[in-house]
Amino acid sequence: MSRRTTTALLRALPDALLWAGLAAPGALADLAGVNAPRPWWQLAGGAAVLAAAVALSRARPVLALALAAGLGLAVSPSLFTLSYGPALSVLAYLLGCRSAAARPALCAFAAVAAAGTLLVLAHDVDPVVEWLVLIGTLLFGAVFPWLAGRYRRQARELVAAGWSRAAQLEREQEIVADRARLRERTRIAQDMHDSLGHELSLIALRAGALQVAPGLDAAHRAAAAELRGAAASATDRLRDIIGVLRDAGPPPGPAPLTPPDDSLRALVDRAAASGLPVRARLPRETELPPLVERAAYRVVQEALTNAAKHAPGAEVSVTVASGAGETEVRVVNGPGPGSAAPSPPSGSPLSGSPLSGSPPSGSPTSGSPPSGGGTGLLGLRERVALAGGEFAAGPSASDGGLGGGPGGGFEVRARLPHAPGRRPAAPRPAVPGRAEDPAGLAQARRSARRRFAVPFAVAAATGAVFVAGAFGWYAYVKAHSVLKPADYGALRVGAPYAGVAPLLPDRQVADPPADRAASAPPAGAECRYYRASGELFVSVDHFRLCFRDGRLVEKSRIPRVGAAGVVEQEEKEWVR
Amino acid sequence: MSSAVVKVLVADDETMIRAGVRAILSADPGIEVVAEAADGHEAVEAARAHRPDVALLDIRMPRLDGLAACEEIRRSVPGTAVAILTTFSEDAYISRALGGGATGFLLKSGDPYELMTGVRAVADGGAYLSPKVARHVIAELGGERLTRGAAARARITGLTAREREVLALVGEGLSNAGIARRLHLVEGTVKGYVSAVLDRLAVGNRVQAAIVAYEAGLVAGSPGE
Repeated sequence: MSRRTTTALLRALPDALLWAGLAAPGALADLAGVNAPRPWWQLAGGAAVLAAAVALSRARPVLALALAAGLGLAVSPSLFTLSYGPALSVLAYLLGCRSAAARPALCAFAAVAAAGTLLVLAHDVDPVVEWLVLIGTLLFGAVFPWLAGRYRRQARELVAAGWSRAAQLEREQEIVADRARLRERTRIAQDMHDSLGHELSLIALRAGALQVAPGLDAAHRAAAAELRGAAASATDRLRDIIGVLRDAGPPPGPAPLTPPDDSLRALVDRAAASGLPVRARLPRETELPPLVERAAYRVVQEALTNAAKHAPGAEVSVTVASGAGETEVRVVNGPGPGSAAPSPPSGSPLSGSPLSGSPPSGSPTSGSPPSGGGTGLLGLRERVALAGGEFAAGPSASDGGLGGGPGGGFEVRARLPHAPGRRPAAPRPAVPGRAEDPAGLAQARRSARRRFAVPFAVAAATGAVFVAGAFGWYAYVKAHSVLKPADYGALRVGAPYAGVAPLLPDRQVADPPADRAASAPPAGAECRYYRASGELFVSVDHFRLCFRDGRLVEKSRIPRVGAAGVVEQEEKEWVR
Repeated sequence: MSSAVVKVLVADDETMIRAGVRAILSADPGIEVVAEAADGHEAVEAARAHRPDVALLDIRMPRLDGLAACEEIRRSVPGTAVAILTTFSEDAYISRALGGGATGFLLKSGDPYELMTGVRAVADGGAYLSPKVARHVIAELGGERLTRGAAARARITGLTAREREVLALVGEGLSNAGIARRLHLVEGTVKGYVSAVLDRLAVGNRVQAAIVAYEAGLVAGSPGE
C-alpha cells in the first residue's frame, strides 16, 4: 500500500471510529428492545446520514449538527432519542471545538428549536410536555456540549498564544543580548583605534621635531614635513572612524578623559578616591600582555561600577593574578545594604562615573564609559570570549576573603590566557534558561493532551466496564428466567405449587410484557412470567403462570412482538 | 612681553611626547620650556611653582585630566595662559576647554611652526586655534548663531524707528505699561505699535517678537549687539 494511502487511511481512522461510535446506539437500541423496532432501511438510512455528518464535521460542522438534529427530529419530535441523542451531543461538542463563529451555531440551534416546535404542534401529542422535552434536550444535549467545545477551543488558543508570546519574548531577549555583544566589540574597536591614534600623533610630533631640528638640509626638512603631514592625515581619518564607533547618541557624546592606556592601578586608585571601599592585589605594570591588560581593565571597571551601583558601601576586593600563561581576574563585593546580590543588573545608562576618569564633579565626558542598561556583564562575557578566556559572574557564597563578612555578595571572575589561542568566530554563549521553542510548545501540547486524555480514558473505561457489566447482568438474568416450552407443556393447571416449583427457573422476568397478554390475569392471583427461550436482543415468547392459594390456576402464553395472532391457535391446540 | 623669553610648562603623561614638544619648542629661541608634568596635579603644582607664561596641557592624563587642570590653573594662577595640546579635536573637548578658560587649542600632529606661533600668540594674550579646530568652533558655536542673527536683522529692516524701539523694549521684557512709561507714550499707542510689530514680523505673540529682537541684537547684551 502506498504511503499516501496509508496516511489517508490513518487520518480517516478517527472519523471512522467516531461514526461507528455514533451509529452504534441506533442499532443497539433496537436490538435491546428499548423501542419498537424499525425497518432495516430506516436504520441503514440513519447510519448513512450519520456517516455524512461525521464526514462533514470538520469542514462544515454546523451542517453536520443540522443533519444529526434532523435525524433526531425525524425519529421523535421532542428530539429525545437514544439512537441519535449521543450523535447530537457529540457533533455539537465538535462544532464548538472546530468553529470559532458563534452565530451560525446559534442560528442552527434556533432553527432546530423552531422545526421541533412545529413538529410537536403537528403531532398533537401533549404539546406542552413534548415541547419542554424538546427544549430540554436541545439545551442539555446540544447547547451545553457546544459550549464545552467552545471552552476547549478557547483554552487551546490561549495556550498557543501564551507560547507564541513566550517565543517572542525570548527572541527579543536574544536581540538585546546580541546588541550588547556588538556594543562590546565596538568598544574594543574604539579602544584600539584610540591607542593607534595616540601612537600616530606621537609619530607626527617626532617628525615635526625633526622638521625644525637644526642642521638639516632643505631636502630632509621637506621630507620630514611630508612625513608629519602623512601621519597627521592618518590621525584625522582615525578620528572620523572613532567618531562613527562612538557609543551614546547626541554630540558631544562621551569623549574619554583618561589616558588610552590607563592602568589597572590608576583605575583602582580612582575608585578608592571616589569613596568605594576597595582593596586590590594587582600585578606589576609590565607583567601582563597589553591585550590581556585591556581585557582585565574592562572586567575590573565594569565590576567596580556594578558594585558601586548595586551594593553601595559594600567592601570590594579586586584580585588580578597572573602566572603560568594566564591571568585570573576576580572582583568580589559583599552584600549591599539590605539587598541580595543582583542577577543581570539593570539600570539607566551612567552618564558620569567616578570610575571612568572624570573628576568627582562627574562630567558628562568620561573615559571608556561602562555600558548601561544591564548589559555590561553580557558585553564582558563577549570581550573575555573574544580573548579566548572564560567568564563567570554570579552571587558568591563566600565573602571572597574579606574576612568576617556574611555571604550574599556578587562575584565576577575571568580567566584570560596570555597566548591568544582559540578565537571563536561567532561566540554564542548560552543565555541561561532558554528553552528550545518548538519542542517546548509541542511538549506543552502533548502534556495538555495527556491531561485531557487520561480522565477521558478513565471515564471511557469505567463506562465500558459498566456497559459490559450491565450486559452481563442482562444476559444472566434473561438466561436464568427461561422456562422451557416442554416444561411448560408438562405443567397442569390445578397442580400444587410444590409440584410445579422444581420445573421453574431461578428467576422471573422483572419487566414482563403483560400488555401483550391475550387476557387479563385472574383475580386475586399472583402471576409470574418466564421467557420461553434464551435468545438475547430479540423479542421472545413469554409464559405467564398464575398461582392462587398455592395452586396453579392459569397458564398462558404471551406471544413475542409481531406474532399475536398465532397464540390463540396454539392455546387451543394445546388445551385440546 | 614680546621681547622676553616665553616660559612654557609642558604637561603630558607620555615621556616621548614631552620630549618631542620640547624638541620642537627649543627650535625657537624665544621660547623656553621651564617645567614638565606627567599628570594634572603635577601640572597645577608646577604652574603655581614656576609661574610660566603658557601652560601646554594634554587632555587625557591620569589623576587629573587636562580640562580640569586648565580650569584649576586659570583659577589659581591667572597670569598663566592655557593652551590645550591633544591628539583628537573632539567637540566636547573644545567647548569645555574654551569654556574653562583655555585660549589655545592645538593638535599634536599639527605643523610644528604652528605650535611655536600658537604658544607666542597665547602668551601675548591672544588666542590660537589650529585651523581644523577653528572650523569646528565656527560650525558648532558660531555659524548657526551668526546666520540666525543675520536672518533676524533682515526681518526687522521693515520696521520704522519707533517700532524698533518698541521691539527692543519688548525684548527686554517690559510690559505695555512699562514701555509707555519709558517712551513717554500713552499705553493705547504702545498697544498699537506692538500689534503692528507683531504683524510685520509675522509672529504670534510677544515672546516670539522678543526672540527676534534678541537675535537681531536690539537687546542689550545680546550676541548681535
